[in-house]
Amino acid sequence: MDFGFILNNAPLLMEGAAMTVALAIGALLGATIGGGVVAGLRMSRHAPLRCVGAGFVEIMRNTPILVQIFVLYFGLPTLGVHMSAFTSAVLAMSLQNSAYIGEIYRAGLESIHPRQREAALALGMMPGMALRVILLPQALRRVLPPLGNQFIIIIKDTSVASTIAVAELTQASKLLLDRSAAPYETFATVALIYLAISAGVAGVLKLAEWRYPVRVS
Amino acid sequence: MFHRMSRLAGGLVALAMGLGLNVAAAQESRLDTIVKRDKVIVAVSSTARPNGFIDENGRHTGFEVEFARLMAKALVGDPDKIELMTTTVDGRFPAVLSGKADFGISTATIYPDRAVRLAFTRPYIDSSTLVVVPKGSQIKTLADLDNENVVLGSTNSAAMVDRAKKYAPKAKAIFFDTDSAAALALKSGRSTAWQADSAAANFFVGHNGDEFVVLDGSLGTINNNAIFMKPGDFPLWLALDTIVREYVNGSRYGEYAALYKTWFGKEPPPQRPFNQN
Repeated sequence: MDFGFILNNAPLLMEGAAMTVALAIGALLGATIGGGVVAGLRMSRHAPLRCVGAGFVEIMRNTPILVQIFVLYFGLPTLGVHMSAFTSAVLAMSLQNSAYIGEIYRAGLESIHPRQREAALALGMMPGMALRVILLPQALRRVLPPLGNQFIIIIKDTSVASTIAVAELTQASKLLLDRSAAPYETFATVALIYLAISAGVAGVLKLAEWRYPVRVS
Repeated sequence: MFHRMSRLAGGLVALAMGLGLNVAAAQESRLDTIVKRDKVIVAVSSTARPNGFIDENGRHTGFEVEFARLMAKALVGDPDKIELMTTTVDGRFPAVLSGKADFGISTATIYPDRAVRLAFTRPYIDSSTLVVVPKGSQIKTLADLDNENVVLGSTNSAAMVDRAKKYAPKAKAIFFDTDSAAALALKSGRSTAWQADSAAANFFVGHNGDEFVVLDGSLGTINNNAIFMKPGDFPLWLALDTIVREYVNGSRYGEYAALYKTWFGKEPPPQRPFNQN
């Protein structure tokens, strides 16, 4: 094992890692917000909106992320829509993970006993206030562990962006591998970088879980 | 006591024999393994027309794939005694270094950096880098590539990245995992030019001549593409290198020339006699 050339190419890997972090932040924000919209649609009182939400979730969950990225990047230009590779990747990951995170939110909200909402309304709260003050604080604590898992999946999924020419960490490692023909050193280093990024996010979420523990009512 | 000692001695002898066998196995050349197995395992591409791709009938073919069959014919006597291991650009070297494949034929250019960790035979083909642009493009010459409005696509290989930096530093360079994706980028308007191996570029324009053209001249030097394998196995390397020489410039030149003409539509470079009488 010779890690000398890895040190010589550290700037290339660091640039790739920075792009991976940028992709992950974009996709995490997009999916966190999009998940809220999906959960809202899925739990709507109106049947057509529930159908839209369910259809979105099924399409997003049951098609590969690679296909979704290719459709956005290569397919949309034929319809006159031109997005950069970065935007296409962030959007594809946001859309797919909105479906998963929406379901996580929904599960969290539905795990709160219905009587709590009824009690809030009986106390004179408006439905929106009951959601904001009573239901969401409890649901968010319960969804933190599965949300953490999904966030780590998003970070690892960023590697798919290399297929549409986003110069992220995996693409940088492929270039390094092609130049050096040293797969073990290259992949070991890249795995450690991914581990560091994922462990950072996991640590923040663990901290949040510790700070906001689930209170059993 | 004696019984226990004799059992211990027996165990040590068995252990020594086992170690001895392991040493012998470790010293066995992969060439012997291939011959005993009666089949070769070759890492090839499936997304790089015309070198390795899946044709309309679902057959894995291409110049390099058929050349791999010729290598199988020379090694085990039958071009069909071959297992094609499909890899991407980034998977081709690990395929041989990990021992999954006996050797690889996958548009691998010989570079000094690579030669440190891989063993290459002599080249089976020379390649150059051509640039494909849409017909009617503002890019008329290779010099026009160095422009901020140019988006130059290619595969994510070290050579392509270096060429993009050297010949078109002002252009935006984008790199894909496969030639197929890079070609798709040109077709969909994601890139305005595509730098590709000469075989891939000529094949693409041959099939899309209404829409695309190859610019005159080549980008950079002529490179040598060669069979690559895990280093340290001299008997296998010598056999492969000798067979390549026999095809490219020796007793089996006729088969090589026919294959070359099938895929590139022209004769290969003529044989170069060493000492013809």
